[in-house]
Amino acid sequence: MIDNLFYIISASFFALFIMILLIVISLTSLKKREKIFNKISKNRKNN
Amino acid sequence: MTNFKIFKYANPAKFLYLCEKTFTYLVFLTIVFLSFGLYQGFFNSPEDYQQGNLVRIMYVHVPSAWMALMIYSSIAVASCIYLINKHLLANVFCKSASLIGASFTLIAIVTGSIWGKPTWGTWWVWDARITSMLVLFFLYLGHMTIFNFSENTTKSGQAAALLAILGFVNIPIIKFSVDWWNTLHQPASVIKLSGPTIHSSMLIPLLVTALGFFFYFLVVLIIRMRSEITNEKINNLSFTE
Repeated sequence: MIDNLFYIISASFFALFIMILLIVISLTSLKKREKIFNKISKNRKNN
Repeated sequence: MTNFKIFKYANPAKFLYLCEKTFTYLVFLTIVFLSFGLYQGFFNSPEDYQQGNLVRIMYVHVPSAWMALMIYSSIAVASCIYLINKHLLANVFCKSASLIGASFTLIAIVTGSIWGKPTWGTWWVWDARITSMLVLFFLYLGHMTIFNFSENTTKSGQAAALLAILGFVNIPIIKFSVDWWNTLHQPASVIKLSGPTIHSSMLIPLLVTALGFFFYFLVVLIIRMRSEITNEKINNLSFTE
C-alpha cells in the first residue's frame, strides 16, 4: 500500500479538475461569443 | 521596435490564422507531454528518501508554480508593450492569460498545502515563499477584476497594465524568498546557478510535465484570445449599428 495515497490523489485530482474546468469555461465562452457574432453578422447582411 | 518580426502577428487576422494552423499540433503536444511526464512522475520515478511517495505531488506543484510566475512575467511584458505601442493583441493577451495564471497559482498553493499537511504537520504557514505566492494570486484576481470593472477596454486595459507592471516586483520576491529569508519552504533545486541538485530520474519527468503544462497554457490561451477577439468584433459591430 502506497503511503499518503490520499494526499497524492487529492492534489492530482484538484489540479486535473481546475485544468479541465478552465478548458470548459474557455470553450463555452468562445462558442457563446461566436454564436452572438454570427447572429449579428447575419442580421446585418439581411438588412 | 516595430521592425521586430513578431509584430507582424500583432494583426488579429494574422494571429488567428497562425492559431488555426498550430492549434491541433499544440493539443497533440499537450496530451503527449502531460501523459508521458505524469506517467513517469507518478509510476516510474523513485521515491524520495525523506518524503517517500509524497514527492509525487511535486510533478504537479512545481510546474504549476513555474507557470504562474512565467505567465505573470509575460503579462507584465505585454502590459509594457500595450502601454507603449497600444497593440490590441497585447491587451487581449493580458486579459486572456490572467485567469490561466490565477488557476496555476491556485493549483500551486492548494497542492503545496496538501503536501504540507503530512510533511510539515500543517496545511498553511505564513512563510515568505507561500505568502508571496498568495500575494501573486491576489494580484491576478485584482488584474481580472480591473478588466471586468469597466466596459471601456482601453481604460481598463491601461489600469490593468499598470497593476501588472507594479505587481511584477513580487516575482523576484517569490523566486528569491527562500534565499533571502529563513523559510520552511525548501530552497530551489532545479533553477539555480550551480545547476540542478535533483536526480535525473526525477528531473526528466518534472521537465517533461512542465513542457506539457506550457503547451496546455498555449492551447487555453489561444481559445481565450479567440474568444476575446470575437468579443471585440461584437462590440465594434454593436457600436457601428
